[in-house]
Amino acid sequence: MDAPILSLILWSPLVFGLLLLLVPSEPVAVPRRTAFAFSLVPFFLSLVMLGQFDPSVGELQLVQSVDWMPTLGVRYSLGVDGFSIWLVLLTTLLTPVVLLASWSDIRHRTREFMVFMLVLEWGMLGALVAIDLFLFFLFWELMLFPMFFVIGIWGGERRYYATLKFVLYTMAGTALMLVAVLYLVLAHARTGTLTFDITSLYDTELSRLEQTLLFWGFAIAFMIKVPMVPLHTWLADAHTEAPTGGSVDLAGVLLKMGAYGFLRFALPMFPLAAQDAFPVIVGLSVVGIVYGAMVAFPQPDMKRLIAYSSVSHMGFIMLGIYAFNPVGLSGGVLQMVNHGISTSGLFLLVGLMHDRTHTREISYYGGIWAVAPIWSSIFLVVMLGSIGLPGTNGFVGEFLVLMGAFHAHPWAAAIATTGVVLGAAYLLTMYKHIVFGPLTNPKNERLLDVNRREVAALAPILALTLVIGIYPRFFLDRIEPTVDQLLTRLEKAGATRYVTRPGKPAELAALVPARHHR
Amino acid sequence: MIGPSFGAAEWQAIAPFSVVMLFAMGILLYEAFLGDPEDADTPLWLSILGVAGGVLASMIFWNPDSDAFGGTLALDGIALFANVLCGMSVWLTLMMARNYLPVIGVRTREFYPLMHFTLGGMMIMGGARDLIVLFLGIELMSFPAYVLAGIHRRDPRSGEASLKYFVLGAFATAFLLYGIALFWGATGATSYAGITTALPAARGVAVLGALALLVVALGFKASMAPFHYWAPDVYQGSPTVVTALMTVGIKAAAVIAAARFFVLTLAPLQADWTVVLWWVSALTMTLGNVVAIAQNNIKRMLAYSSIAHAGYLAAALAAGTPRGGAAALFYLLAYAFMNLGAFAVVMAVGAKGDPNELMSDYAGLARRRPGLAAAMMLFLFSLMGIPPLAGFAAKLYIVDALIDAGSVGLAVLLMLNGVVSGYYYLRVNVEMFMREPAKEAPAIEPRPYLMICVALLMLGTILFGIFPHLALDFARQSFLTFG
Repeated sequence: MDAPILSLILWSPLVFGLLLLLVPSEPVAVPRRTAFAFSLVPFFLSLVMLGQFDPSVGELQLVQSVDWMPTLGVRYSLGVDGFSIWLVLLTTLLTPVVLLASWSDIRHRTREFMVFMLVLEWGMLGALVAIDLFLFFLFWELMLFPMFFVIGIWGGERRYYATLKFVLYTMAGTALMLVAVLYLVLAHARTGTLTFDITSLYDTELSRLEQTLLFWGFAIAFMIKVPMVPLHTWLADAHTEAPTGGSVDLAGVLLKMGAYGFLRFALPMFPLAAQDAFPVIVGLSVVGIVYGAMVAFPQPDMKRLIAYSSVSHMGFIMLGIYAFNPVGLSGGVLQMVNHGISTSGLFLLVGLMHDRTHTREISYYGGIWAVAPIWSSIFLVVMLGSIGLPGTNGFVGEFLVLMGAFHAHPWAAAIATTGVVLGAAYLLTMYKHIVFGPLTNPKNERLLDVNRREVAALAPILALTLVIGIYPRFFLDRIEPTVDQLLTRLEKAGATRYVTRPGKPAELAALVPARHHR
Repeated sequence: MIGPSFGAAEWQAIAPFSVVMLFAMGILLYEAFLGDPEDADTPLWLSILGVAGGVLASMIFWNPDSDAFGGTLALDGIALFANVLCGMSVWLTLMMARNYLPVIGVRTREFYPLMHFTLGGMMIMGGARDLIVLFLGIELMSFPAYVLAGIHRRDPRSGEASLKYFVLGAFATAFLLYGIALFWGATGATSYAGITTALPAARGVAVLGALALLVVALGFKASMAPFHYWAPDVYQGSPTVVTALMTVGIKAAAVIAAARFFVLTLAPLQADWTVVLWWVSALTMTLGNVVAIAQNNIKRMLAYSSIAHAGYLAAALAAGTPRGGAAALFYLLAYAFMNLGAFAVVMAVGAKGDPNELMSDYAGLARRRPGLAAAMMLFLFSLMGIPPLAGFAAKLYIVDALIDAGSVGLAVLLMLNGVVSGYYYLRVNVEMFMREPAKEAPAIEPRPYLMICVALLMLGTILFGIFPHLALDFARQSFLTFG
């Protein structure tokens, strides 16, 4: 039998986090370096997982399943597929990046911070690889609490408010989801066995009304996480007040959990209800895209601006998912990864600048290129990736999403396109104010550029921005079979009103290779 | 009718009770004639031994078909669950008291036998299958509790708590007796078996009235709204160690008795009493949680939180099924661990002359006492219902039972209440972990007994969170033997 690679990936951060408690907290270099070294282990393990992952299979892979609570039908089951594999890698990559970049940001209780970040990684990974509904729910709720402490202890001035708001908002959604989970499991037990296994639950027989209620029970929890307008108000506060590391994990992985939830649970479990929700979800996505962009524009605070840009970008992801065709869905899944990379990069860069100047006010800066050219040029690439310039990761994702969306709902896609333009506008404007022009603020004259450690932390983000932009095929190959499977499931359940499988035009075929022909 | 026979079944059924009571009287006599007033350890160890003996006797002599005194008392699965749960709670509170009583300056040795008497009452309540026996159990449990609430004689709040508890308790007893009388009048029986047999024919105004009176009486003991008005003052005023026992042990005995009586005995009237309990539950949990938000005193906050949890327990009963009864049993177990734990931390933080009960007294506790803060965090998260702790599993089974019984609305309300409760439980965490200490850290007094209790309770909170089926399966079987 192969080594249970997913279990190793999942449990290593927790074990290391607890081990870290045994490491002396002074001098701070010791826990810093140990934590960084520890965090590389799950990353390399997940590279091994990527090697074992079979790109031609759409089903869950590397599955591991053990009885946990036999009388209650709960099993400890893990697995990955095209929806989760890149998010797992993103999570294990971002943790070492964050730990490396936080050396100058976190100045008190450093060891505890590192422990919380590792525990948070454990929670996020658990939610991604769990394929038992009970286990998923457990981790979904669990990952809240490390973040609660990270924001509350190391956050900005309004951290108590922000962290309570974050937790309570998310818990409100989760509360409804738990009821829906149990209802679903009991409904399944009426006709079959008592089980929390996701793939078995896909085939539960439900009335249309039950489907609708359960769909919304799940969907509201996911919509809060995404976040979709009007459930997004926790995001700006949490992002802004969180320390850099917290913002990165929030933007990079936690938000994706919402979209992932739709792909893994809400759509395949309740296909008909998901179809009925089409106007609502698409409408809210478009509203989110435009509204997020418009609110981001005038923000004087860099982190707040990026936070609102997330609302806009996450709207694109939901739009792609709700295109219900292979192109849009694959684009949405890829865009989840892209947004994780770009927004994390932006938060990291802003965080590094904040460490030096202790302000996030855009007006404080100006002409930074003169003093920090390396920072400015990395910022340029990551920002262009976020805007979606051809050749960067954002372009591939947004292009596919819009392509799929045009096919499914042209009007929505047309409006969403303005979000791309607005996105370019607010990010470029911010960049112009910060970087270009003469050095306006004399306090910035002695500003230090990024050092080698910080460049090392940013290097993977920079590299992925370009790699995904230039060679997306490698990533899409592993996503598409699972997308295909989801669409087949929707078709089989009769939710075919919006599902389309357009023939691939020549231009698109160049971008999205037909996997079967290789 | 109680027959003349007093055979093995009878001896076995009252064995745990007898052990506890014999020890209580033994300690009383020992203290009166031989005890050294300076020696606090002998009565403690004797009473701990007595409780352990009672629990052990329950484990040895229980059997699912137990039936004693002509069907009025049993040591069956439910009774065993009650005995172990209440015995454990009393056992732990005794240990805590060893460290806590000197802090508040209570040297009254009667404390220990009184704890035994109240435990004896709980044991009777857990096994009662006759309303008269239930009444005896309630009174035996309550009278020592009235005294215990006022045992801190120099503290006027303690006296107030005792008096309030007594007066309102007497009131509730009256309701109970009227209820029993009405049941007797309507069905001609006070035994549960007799009532169940007579019920289908006897359903009428008298039975519904009796039912209402019993809901009031048991709701009072379990601090369910709208019969909860005594609870905040009594819980806050009593010595913390007694509060811990009242919120856990007394509530457990009342809820288990209610579970047996309503779920099993009044099954034919299920449609009537589930409606009542539905409203009681909705009101109790919402009121408890909303009012708890406004509290700045941790003890009072825990008092309101305890009311909220009584609401969750009522929800489990409102499911009306054995599954709900089993969920209530498991919830009580989980609640015992986490709530005793929270109170143990409150006791450990308190100092001589300064109870340190305000929210602000917990500021920066993670810096001053990291272990204690971590323990408190664990207990509060469990009370909030966060996985993978016992409180989560317990809440899960209540929701499961409610959905199974078709009561989805109450399940949603319960979960949303959990979110509301998150606010005040998290606030304590904000104080402990995120704020700086407001005042000088007091010297740490060694309190080994309290620390042992905290460690045991943490262990239980985690263990029954990860392997809840160990206890739940037993609770379900106990109920299903009757189903």
